[in-house]
Amino acid sequence: MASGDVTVRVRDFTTTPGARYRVDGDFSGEEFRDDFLLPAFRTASDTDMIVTVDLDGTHGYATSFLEETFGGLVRVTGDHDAASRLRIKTADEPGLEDEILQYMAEAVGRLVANKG
Amino acid sequence: MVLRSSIRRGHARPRSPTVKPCTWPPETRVIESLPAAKLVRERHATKAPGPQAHSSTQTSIREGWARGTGSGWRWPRTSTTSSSCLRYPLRTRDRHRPRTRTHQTLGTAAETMRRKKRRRRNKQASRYEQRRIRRNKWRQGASPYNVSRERRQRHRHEPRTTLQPPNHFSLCDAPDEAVEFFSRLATQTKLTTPIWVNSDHVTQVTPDALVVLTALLSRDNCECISTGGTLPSDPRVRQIYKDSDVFKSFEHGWEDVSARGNVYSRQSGYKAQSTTAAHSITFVCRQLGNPTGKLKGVYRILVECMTNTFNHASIESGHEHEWFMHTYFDKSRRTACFTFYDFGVGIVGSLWIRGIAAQLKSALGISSQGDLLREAFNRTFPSRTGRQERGLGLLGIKRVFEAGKVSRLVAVANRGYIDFGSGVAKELASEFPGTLLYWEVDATHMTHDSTQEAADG
Repeated sequence: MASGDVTVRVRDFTTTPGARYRVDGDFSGEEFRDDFLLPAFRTASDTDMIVTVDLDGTHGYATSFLEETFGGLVRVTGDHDAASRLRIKTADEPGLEDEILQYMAEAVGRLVANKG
Repeated sequence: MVLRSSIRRGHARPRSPTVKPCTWPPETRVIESLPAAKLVRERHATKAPGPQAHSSTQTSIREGWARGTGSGWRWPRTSTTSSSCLRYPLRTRDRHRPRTRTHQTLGTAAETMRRKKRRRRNKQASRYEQRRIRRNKWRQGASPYNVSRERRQRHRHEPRTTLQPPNHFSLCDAPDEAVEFFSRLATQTKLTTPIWVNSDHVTQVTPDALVVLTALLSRDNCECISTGGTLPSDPRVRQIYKDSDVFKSFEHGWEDVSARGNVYSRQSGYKAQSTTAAHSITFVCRQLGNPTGKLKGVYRILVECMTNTFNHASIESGHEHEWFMHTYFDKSRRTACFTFYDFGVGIVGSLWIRGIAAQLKSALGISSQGDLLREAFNRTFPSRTGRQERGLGLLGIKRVFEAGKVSRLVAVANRGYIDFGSGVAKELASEFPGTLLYWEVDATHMTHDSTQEAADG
């Protein structure tokens, strides 16, 4: 069981999240995932903790940023249970949590389909 | 012969004490210390009697003496080794004149200074000033782009092309007429004929039409086209034209303006510039009375549009297309009007290129470009990249509207038109050059930042 949590705040990365890949522009989802989320996720996995991602305090999110961050997390780690290790905190846009979980579920589905 | 070679290489010949330096002309020695000594000496040298009066050795000694005086005389680099050339050196003016220019173009020293000053000033001018300078040169008959003089002269005397926007100049409300106008304008901008936009009779206008007008006339190939036009006679419409600085843009092209008073903000770029999107939103929130407010739906649409332009506006990968973003604040309605435009292949055009449109036409009977546009926003088609996780942008934009985060959403691409508010999707008679999205927001769409409120206590 999880014994604590590691918090990653997107506003510490930027208040203006960008697009999907680094080549698309600044503050991309790929950049956030590789530089912020993935190290925290690996630490949490090693120590059996939960990663809390705080999405508040920014101007908003593009779909490509969210998909690359959270769907990309599943693709990069290959962890089917990645969603269970994450907690999404979003007071400004409550609908984002469902959207993120959907992206992660689709990524897991594609992962399973590709392996099969 | 050896002596001549040494002179040509520029070696100073030692003055021989046994040889009298020069006895002709005798005045030369007298005026040696005067500033104009060199000129006088040269004049005398050119008036020297014929070659038979001096042997080549005597001449060489005389020139060596002249060099030894420190007057700065140098042998012309292009001189030949013939003896006649040695005896009759070129005149000073001829020797120091650059051979690539004629005497007429060199002008006086004052003219040269003026020319240099003008060039320096032009070099320091901003991008838009440089564009204006190039255009003026074009009008005066100069050649900024290696176009032949005959063609430029012919072009100067050609009659200009006058285009009239429709009375109701709006892509959102009257798309057929406006798209027909822009189609003709886009064709004209590929030519070199001067364009005159006569807007006298325009009675209604929306900002989206003015944005496309400005962007089309700011294309790279329009730099050397003379453009101009007239303002509408209706004072209310005229004011919208003036507020949008359309005719200023005719002269200077598209200029990024973070905020012009409380009227508009406009930006352009190539990549997904999220900070630019945030600046536009801050501008609107300030006009709506809450500078710290957020428009998260608008932010999503803007970043999606920028990303789509960067990734899909061009047929060839790696070729970037410019996007234009304009935010107009309508004070009378207390509404912000956002317009995003790029002149890429268009959403429907991209489907045609991939062959998807033809498949749909045969399989589902969808032939109207308006319906194709609607299906593109429903994510019916896979992404051009072939990756399943991609292709979410248009669907995300549609969901923003459905969630009520913007009050109106209109998309025009190629011949397709869709108004998400009224549900109208139709095929236009003319081809629209590029893709346009237009949406509106007011104070009711603004959300508050919870972290900011928490910080404020």
